[in-house]
Amino acid sequence: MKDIEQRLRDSLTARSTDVEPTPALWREVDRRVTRRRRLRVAGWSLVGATAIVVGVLVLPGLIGTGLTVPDIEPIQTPPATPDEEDQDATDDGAPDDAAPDETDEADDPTPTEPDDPDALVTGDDTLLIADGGELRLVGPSGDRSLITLAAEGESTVAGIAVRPGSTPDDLTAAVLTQAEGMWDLRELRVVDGEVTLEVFDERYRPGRAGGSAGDGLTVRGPVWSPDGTSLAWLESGADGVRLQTIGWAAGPGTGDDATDNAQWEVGDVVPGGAIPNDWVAAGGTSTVLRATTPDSDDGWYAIRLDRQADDAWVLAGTDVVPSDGEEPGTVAALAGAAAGSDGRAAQWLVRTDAGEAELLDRTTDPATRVGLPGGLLPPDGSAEVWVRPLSDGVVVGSPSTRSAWVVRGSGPPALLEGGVTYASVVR
Amino acid sequence: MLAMVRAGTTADSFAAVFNAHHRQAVRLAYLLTSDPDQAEDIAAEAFAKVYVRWSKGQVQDVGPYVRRAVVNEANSKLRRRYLERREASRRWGDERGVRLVDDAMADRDLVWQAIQRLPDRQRQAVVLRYYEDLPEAETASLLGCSVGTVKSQVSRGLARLEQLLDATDRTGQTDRTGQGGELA
Repeated sequence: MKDIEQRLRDSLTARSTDVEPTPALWREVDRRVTRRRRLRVAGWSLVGATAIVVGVLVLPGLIGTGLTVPDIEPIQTPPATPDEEDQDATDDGAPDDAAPDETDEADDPTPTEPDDPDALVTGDDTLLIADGGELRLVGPSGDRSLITLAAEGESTVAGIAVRPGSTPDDLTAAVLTQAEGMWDLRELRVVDGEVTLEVFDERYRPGRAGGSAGDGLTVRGPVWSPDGTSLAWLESGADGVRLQTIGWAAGPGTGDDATDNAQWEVGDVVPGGAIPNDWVAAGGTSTVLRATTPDSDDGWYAIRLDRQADDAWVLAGTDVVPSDGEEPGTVAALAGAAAGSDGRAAQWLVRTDAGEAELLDRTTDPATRVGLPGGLLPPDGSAEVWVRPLSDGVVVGSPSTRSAWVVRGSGPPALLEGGVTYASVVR
Repeated sequence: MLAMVRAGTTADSFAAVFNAHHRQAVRLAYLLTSDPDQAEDIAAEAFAKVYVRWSKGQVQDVGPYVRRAVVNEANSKLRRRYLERREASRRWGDERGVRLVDDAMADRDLVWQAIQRLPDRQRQAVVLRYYEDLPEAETASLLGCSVGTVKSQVSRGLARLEQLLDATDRTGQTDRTGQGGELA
């Protein structure tokens, strides 16, 4: 060992003893763990309304457990502050109108102003949009912020899916979030202006099948079954790629053995990190969950799931749907299933090739090609892209550039205002 | 299956996890940031994040997981400090204002003072290699870079330390003014 290495080692060892944990450290961990289990509602305003509804969301069963430390003084969980006492009042899981914690700088209850009335999202369309840790609704009447994931600091939304049958006034969505490699699924509810966001029960969270422990897990999705009775996502880890489904009754899970939840290994066909785009009907009891990757030229991936008599899903097969040889590039995203197509004929495809992106609209005959703006993709050209059908077009976006464009017909794409990482259509 | 995964994972056992790892976590945070005040904050946040995954029974080897959480959190603090320094430099024309605190502490130990003059990435690499005794591959994994990058960061860090200490030896005194530049 060189002299400098020994001196370095000695110095680091000596200096490390400059600090000793204080008894307050455990209390601080306990406080943060408790706070982490609560999500706050912030920044909710209805257009033209004066009332601001702020809710505090609670994960039942984990609040107020009072972790104790056997060896460190003081060993008791500290008494709740007035703010915490307010929060503890919500331990029954019911939304609360308590004010946000004053330490949560990002909890800004300031109402958002309606956007330009000449909104790009028109008609019956409303979009649930994620931008980092914020969720908002964008529709013909403007833009309203629903919630910001402030309590968890670095949490960001990694996927959203509005449940079929939702309306802006009665909305259910599944929200995938990530923080420091930790994945969670949450249920967003918006009912008559009241917003709640609740972490899925442990039985239905990502990684519940075990095996993909720690930081090896990647979760992509979620997507809803066509009838909205099941939710699915893909998990990739050291042990392979799994498709996870959970049934949905009043919330995650049905309690019924046949429909409550299921997992399948699909890694023999579907690559790790594949992104579920949608889950479409394919005639009769057949459905197809369709997934893409940002950088594979192989095509896209069809996971066929059929309903059995007891409503349980059965994996009917997994296939690679090859790229058309005349269409070079990657199928980065797709949406819409042509009637009677068994899910293989997508109505919209986003192709990327050498840093350029193109929307192929197959709802017209012949198909329409629309070049997508260069700002959709980052400079290196390879990035996650999504496309969602609107009533008269599509919205295409990428979390890499926090941008989304509305495309109608063969007209030029129009940039949606504000940052957009993910979007899902309310319908 | 869930019950099997979660068997034995109770609040009390997380306290045991905390007891087993908190001292090392605080010390690592201190060595990575040179900031004793931030070290405890970093450790608290790291344990809170580890708890989320641990409570789901998804952390099989807690020690490395805590270490990773500490490194991630320290990285976040260092990025913030870098931005603050840049802003201070923009306002005042140099970085003196933000170096004074670090230098005052560093006077206690020449090597430690030199360590603190290393760029953040070099300091993180040498701390993980020579304090945590991690192999290069694990250091690379923690820092989110290649093994080659770790090798070069450590090599440059050691060379820089020697350069700084040589300069100190030549002059036989340390710079106690905190005015930046070399140690002497």
